Amino acid sequence: MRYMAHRLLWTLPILLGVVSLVFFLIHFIPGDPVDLMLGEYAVAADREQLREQLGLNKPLSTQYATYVGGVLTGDLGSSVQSHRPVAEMIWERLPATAELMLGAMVIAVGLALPLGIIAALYAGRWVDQVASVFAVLGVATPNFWLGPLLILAFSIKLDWLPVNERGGLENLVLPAVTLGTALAALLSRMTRASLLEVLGEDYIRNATAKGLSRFGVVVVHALRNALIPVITVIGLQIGVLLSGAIITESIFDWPGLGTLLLEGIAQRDYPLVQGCVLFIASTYVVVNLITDLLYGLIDPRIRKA
Amino acid sequence: MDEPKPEGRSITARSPYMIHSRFFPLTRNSFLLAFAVVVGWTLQPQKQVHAAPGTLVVMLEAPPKTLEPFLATDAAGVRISHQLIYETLVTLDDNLEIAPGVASSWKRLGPTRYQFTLRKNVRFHNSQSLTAEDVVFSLNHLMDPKQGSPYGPVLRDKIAAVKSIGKDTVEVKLKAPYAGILSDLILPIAPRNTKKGQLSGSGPFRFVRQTATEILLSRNEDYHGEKAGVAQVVFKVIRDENTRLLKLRKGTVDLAVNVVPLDKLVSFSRPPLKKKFALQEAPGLSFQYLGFNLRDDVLSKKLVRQALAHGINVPALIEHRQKGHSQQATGLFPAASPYANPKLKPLQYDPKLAGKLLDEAGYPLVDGKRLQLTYKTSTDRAAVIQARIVQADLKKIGVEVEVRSYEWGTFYEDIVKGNFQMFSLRWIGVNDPDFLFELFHSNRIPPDGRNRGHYKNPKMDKLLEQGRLEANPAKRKTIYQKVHDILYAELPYLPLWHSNNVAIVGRNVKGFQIHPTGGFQHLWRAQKTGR
Repeated sequence: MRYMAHRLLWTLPILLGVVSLVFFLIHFIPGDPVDLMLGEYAVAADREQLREQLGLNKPLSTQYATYVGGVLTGDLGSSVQSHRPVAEMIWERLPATAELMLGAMVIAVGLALPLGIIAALYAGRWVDQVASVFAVLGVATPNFWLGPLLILAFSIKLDWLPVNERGGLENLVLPAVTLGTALAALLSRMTRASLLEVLGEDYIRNATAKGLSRFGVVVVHALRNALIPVITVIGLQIGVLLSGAIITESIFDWPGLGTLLLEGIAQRDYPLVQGCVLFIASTYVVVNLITDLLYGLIDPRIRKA
Repeated sequence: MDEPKPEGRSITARSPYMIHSRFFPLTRNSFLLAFAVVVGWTLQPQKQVHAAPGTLVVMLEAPPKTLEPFLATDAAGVRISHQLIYETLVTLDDNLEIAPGVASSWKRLGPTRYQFTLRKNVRFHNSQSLTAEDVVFSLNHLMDPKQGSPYGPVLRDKIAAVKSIGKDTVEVKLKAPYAGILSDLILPIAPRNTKKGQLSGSGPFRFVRQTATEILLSRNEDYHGEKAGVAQVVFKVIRDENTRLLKLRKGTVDLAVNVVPLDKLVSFSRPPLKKKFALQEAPGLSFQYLGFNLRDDVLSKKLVRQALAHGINVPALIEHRQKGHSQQATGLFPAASPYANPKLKPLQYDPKLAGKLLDEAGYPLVDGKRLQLTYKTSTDRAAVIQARIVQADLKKIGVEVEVRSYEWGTFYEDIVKGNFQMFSLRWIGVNDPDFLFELFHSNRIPPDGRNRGHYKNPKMDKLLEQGRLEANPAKRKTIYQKVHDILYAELPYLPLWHSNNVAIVGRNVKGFQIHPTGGFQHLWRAQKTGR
């Protein structure tokens, strides 16, 4: 309980730091943000109006207090371009990003566990080396290259899957593979390393000596313990997936948070960019918190530390 | 580390279900339930329109910022909202002259009074008849500061009042004589009881729905003019350049205007894209220029600016960067515009003449070098490459150019503040010559105007002031031709090129014709046949 309270308390200053950073983002941008947002064709009156609308003509402390107050009540301001509330825009796009992340996670775990287990069981053999090559390629392949390559192969040449757009499950396959490949590679290596370590423990030797089948030893005794660090990494990688989704969404025109953020950047819609960055950063913090708390539940030693 | 020895037994010999049942005996059902809940939430039904025979699929590179008629200013927003869903009071024809829109005719009652006669039998999509009251409402709404329309400041600056005279006539009273007002009135007319979010125009297409990646319009069967050639138009937003090309290769798009970079168009001249698409190309309104700072000791000398103009190989730059899909510019307007000066011929690349001019200006060649300049640019890759090419050209005439590349915000602030020697930017979609007042009148030096090179010429000021007041189109053209003559001689800007508008038109699409603005004015003519 004390551990949970401690972790929760620590999250508050982190979130405040995130809100402050995002707030100051607009003030750190080189040049006048109003000029940047309105572009070449704006006249002086336009600029004054937007400055007033964004409250940029008020003292910084007042602006900061207003912004933090707004964030606490769920008000992230309004888009300069579409004049719609930013929170509403984010909420609309959230399901698409969650769908993509879930798909990527399913593909990553589905690939990584069997690969990692086989690589561990056949460590040093050709199977392990093939898995190792997959891992290196998976981590080293950037999304912006893998995505178009998959489209070219599976949509254009083979005509098996649609090029882009959100729709049914067949539309999810290519974006999810693009986003999930790097994670699959990482998790497969984690699974392999962790399983190899556990397989060297005394209790595994003991179980084997008692005559348990190899399958029983690996799956029931070894894998259960080996997966603890893997699950932790999965939790931590959710934030990475969320940021990776920005590129993947842009390649596949996936109508999620990533494309919303890119639209905001392209249109220099700073309230929208602030809102998206705040949401993504806060999600990262909260997911980390949840992972820490779960880890504490799984491993009592951490709670006592 | 001990490694398990293979014992010849395969782990796949047992059922995977068995692994689950033993490994997650207590949590399997709850896990599946949680998974189903999350999947159910995320897999919300998406309405996708698949290309039906009567549906024209048009590719966009970015979604419109908004389709609200009074707020839309970006290319996609204006083209869909103002040109397809709504109609504007007046419009631009294929010769870039003001043409009838909702107003069938207009006359100038005096230097500050314009009267517009509206078309009869025009109905909005909500069945309401379009009357003078709707025009008054729309213009007042656009001018109302509370509505926050980006068009407001310009209109408020020029228009004193708008009033209806009967059902079909509207009078616009100006604050001061201004000949360019018709261009400023290429603005959408919406029904007077319109509510935010309701898109009910009088254009050839009705708004059906919009998602983050798709906009669907259907043919307006009650349109007052000739009806659209297709029953539906779907705009598909594809942000990634590579994906756009792949999608075109797949052949699921019928039409795309200005969405493929000019240097990639070569792939449409060979199979498989050539089999699927034809290219329509026409000079566009975008104007790329090299700006000089005339407060600078070196660049204030006309001879230096002329030397630089002859020292840069613009045709080679166009060939290299634009792959020939651009026209060398002589001024703000392309040859197709009524305000271009047809007498002006592109400046010749002539390094010898450039050297001679620099000698005359007092910069002789000493140890291979005459003078040093800085060229500021953003970090945009194409802009940096352009700067490097200019740098290499000018090195040949002894001008050392230091290219400084800055993040956009810093670059733009420097340009606005006049903190530069040379820079290159472009103007897009300018159709009225009064914009030259903004660029070159001595009153329009920043912070209020866009005369960023601090160009001052009393003769130019006088001509630009006359141009504002002259309502006679022929006399107005003559004034601006003189303006262009002076600009070409003095070179406060070095005109570089006008990029072409390029439409990629499916072989199954007939009737579409590209407009000089690159807009969708002729989209309603498009018809789709079997591929």
